Amino acid sequence: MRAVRTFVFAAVSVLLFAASAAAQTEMRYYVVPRSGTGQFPTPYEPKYFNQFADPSALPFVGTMDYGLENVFLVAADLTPAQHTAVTANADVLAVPSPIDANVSALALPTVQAKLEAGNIPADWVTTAMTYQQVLSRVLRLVTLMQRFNGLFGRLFAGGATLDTRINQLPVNARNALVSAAQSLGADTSTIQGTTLLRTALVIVADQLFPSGLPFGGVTF
Amino acid sequence: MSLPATDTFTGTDGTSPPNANWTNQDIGVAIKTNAVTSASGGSYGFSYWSADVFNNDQYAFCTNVGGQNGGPVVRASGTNNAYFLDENDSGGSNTYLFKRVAGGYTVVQTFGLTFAGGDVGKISVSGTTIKCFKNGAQIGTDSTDSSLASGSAGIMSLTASTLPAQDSWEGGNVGAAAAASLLVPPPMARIPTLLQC
Repeated sequence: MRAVRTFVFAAVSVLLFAASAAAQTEMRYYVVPRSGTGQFPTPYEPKYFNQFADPSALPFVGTMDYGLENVFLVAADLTPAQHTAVTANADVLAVPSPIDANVSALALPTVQAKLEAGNIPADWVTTAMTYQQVLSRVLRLVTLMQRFNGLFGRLFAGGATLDTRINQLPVNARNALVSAAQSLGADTSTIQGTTLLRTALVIVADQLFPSGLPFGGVTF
Repeated sequence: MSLPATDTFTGTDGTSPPNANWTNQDIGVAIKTNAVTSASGGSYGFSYWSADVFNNDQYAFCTNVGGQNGGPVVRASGTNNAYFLDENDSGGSNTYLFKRVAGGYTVVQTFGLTFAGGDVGKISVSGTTIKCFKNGAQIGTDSTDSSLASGSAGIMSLTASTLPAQDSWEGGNVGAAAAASLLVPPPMARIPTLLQC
């Protein structure tokens, strides 16, 4: 009888330990640079999460590239130690948890600077917004850039920046941007030739996925 | 022809594309022992079904042969665009969802599992949502990607051209009935879930 009790105690302890260990992971979101050449054996992957090229890299649940720009969004279920390790890198923007917290005044300049460094417009980010709201708009900007990539290639090439006007883009790039937006269901009629690229991208993004956009098992 | 399309790749070894219903991307796939494999071992070979026009929302599935590399493809177009389920890559140790846009390869999802001979891999795309399946059960989470809006279902392989890699392919439109002929070979328990798109 005592042996049975000992066995049960041990089994329960193991289960509790396992549950505790599993509970230590948390879904986190990151903006990281791209790694790889786009060709095998180094396809495009998110830096630090590039498991194809490096099986010892961190695991991820979901990832989305920002077209051909040097940016990936990552959803990853990480332990605190893994999270600490990845956030130690200066080129990583880690979204704080919980994501329904507002962007702090301290974090705001960093969030804006790191997004804009990847050609993601971010002048609209304020402390009145939650990180979830920020992620939601960024994810939609990402889908627009992906479609543009599929139709044309890289948008921010040949000197184009977020502050380039639509009428300063090459005609074929401009047409492809309109096609990308319209093929995703957006109305582009309010975008004029003098509209800045950063403004035009947000106008389109805000019309996309009205019923939600799944990413890493969560709908934004 | 009409959808869903099916093929069991019966023919002469080395035939690439496998028959007149297929169009190669890159080096394409070739017939090997009444299945298909890469037309040049060690290189990614794709072929897509070009005898019919697919809706934008489409699926493809095929049966793994001998635990080799390869898998089903959707929205293949031109010479360099597709989404594909890449079974048993990384030296046979892992399975990935890749997108191929204008010739560039991007990892969309890593599944942490492998396929054995007889396992059925499936990929479906609806709008911007991509789902992958192993023997009818979804693997990983829904992936969102908007790079490719249209194209055709197909098949790919990286396996050495001396080994058969994938067989019993079907491609069709999401929401349409699967072809009965290809639903016979898998175990009976898989049939209801194979119909999910």
